[in-house]
Amino acid sequence: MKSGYLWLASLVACPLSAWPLLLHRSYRRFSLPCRIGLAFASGGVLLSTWMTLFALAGILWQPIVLLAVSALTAFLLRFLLRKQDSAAPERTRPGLPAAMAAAISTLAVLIAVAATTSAAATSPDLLYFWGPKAQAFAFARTFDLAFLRDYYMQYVHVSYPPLVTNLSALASMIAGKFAWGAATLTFPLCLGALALSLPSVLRGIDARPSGVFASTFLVATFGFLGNNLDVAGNGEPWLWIYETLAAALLVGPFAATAAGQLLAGLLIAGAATAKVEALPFALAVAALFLFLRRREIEIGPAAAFLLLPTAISLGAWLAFGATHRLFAFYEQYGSFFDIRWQDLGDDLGNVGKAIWSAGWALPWLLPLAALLAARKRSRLALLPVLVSVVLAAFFVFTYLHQSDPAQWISWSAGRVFSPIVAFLAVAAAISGR
Amino acid sequence: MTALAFTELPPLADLLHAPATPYDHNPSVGMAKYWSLVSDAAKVIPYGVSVSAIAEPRDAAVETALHRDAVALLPRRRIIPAAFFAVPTHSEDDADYWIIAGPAPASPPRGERVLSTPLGTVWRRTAR
Repeated sequence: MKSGYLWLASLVACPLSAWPLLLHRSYRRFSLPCRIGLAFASGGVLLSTWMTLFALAGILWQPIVLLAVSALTAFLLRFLLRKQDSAAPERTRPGLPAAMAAAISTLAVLIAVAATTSAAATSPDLLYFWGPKAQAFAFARTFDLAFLRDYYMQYVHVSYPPLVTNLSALASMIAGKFAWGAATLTFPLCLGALALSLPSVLRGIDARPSGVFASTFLVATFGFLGNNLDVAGNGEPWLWIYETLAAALLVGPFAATAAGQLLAGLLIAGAATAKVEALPFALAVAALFLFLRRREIEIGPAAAFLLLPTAISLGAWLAFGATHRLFAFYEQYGSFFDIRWQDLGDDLGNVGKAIWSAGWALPWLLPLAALLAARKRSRLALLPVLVSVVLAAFFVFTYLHQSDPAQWISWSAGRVFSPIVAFLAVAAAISGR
Repeated sequence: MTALAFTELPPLADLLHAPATPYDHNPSVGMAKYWSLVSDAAKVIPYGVSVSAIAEPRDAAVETALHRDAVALLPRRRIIPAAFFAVPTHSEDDADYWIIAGPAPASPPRGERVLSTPLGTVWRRTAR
């Protein structure tokens, strides 16, 4: 039990490692809880990236060293920011809508805690690959080559990106063992971090209650989906925090500054190294941002801020795989050109059924309805809407490579389509300005 | 959405008691049961030995799941699969320990039974 508490408490390394960056005056526009949540998310990226770079260089992991180099990196990143990025601290007037929104978000997080601690939300994938990989990496204090090369370990998805397993391995090294129950609690933990940070980020694009309620809707919806889709202990909660915050930042005015782009770039890297399907998100969201906001930004520096963290973090992982002859890229689901177009109708029907079974598709339909009902349409709403379209097309395209994927779709579609809820809600919030 | 999340929670009695395994409410057949058995086995199987988890009666699909449970819950042991992707490997004879999920087999395996639970048994196997 004690190791479980220690395992969970050790994740405080995430906000600590990024705090030197979030202390920069540029980020004082956000509330303190928001900066803690943002530091948790971006600190996870810094730690995971350094763990991957250490493994690539053949250096064994030491938690205190990893924390020190990550915090130093966060400090040095401050020198990339400009003074004119500064803004007055956010002044919020906690009116009744904000208080109601905070109360509902708190309740949603508490329900997620109850679902997780009662073993109702545990992901089978925690047992089948996230946990064993993290455990093996923690024992080896690096990426365990013997484990990854074992023929009978193919089912752990050897090439899967490393952020979730890295952070779990870090916590396991500190706690002395992999704590399964504590690992499931990363679901309410990520949800809590999202609840802390999203309201202030969304207030940057919409000071009216609609921005606050978009945040509350997302926290409540992910709380529901997390239990309904059994995500506790797997990669989805991490993906939700990274993709949601990145999308919300990129449609706001702060994204026109170097500080905003750097933060968004770190969050995009977090998504890209949390789950395979986030790579198209990273590419699509960065490309759409550079195109839609080309008149407000300097394209070269903005592209570097947005994509360099992903290139370094994911590039180090792919380089590790290539140099140790483990993998050249992600595992493929069939030949790229072997597309079963004749199954398109069936596959779409099965996707619809999977989404319908998650609360009658309300998580997707409600923000879509809010977006369609908005009186004004912001051009920037195109960013999250088009990202949703790209991701939906990519997921269906992936399913079209498998013969008879009905069962696969039934247990995966709800999860892989879940980030689209966030993009639709962000689009609705920006259109409601 | 918060109300929907509330309706998904287990009954109050289950919320007030710590679950025996992280999969107590998982609908997949056997997840909680195999977790319990392999976790109990971990207490009597030392580090460094080889282990194979088999089903009684023999079932390659169940043994595939048991292999994955053993990999997760028996760290620092060499896990030898009795089946992989529902295909028997016929490698279980190479293991120092057997975890048998289900009733004790009619003809006991050679070696000593080191654990008996309602969900299965653990055997330390002796050289032929």
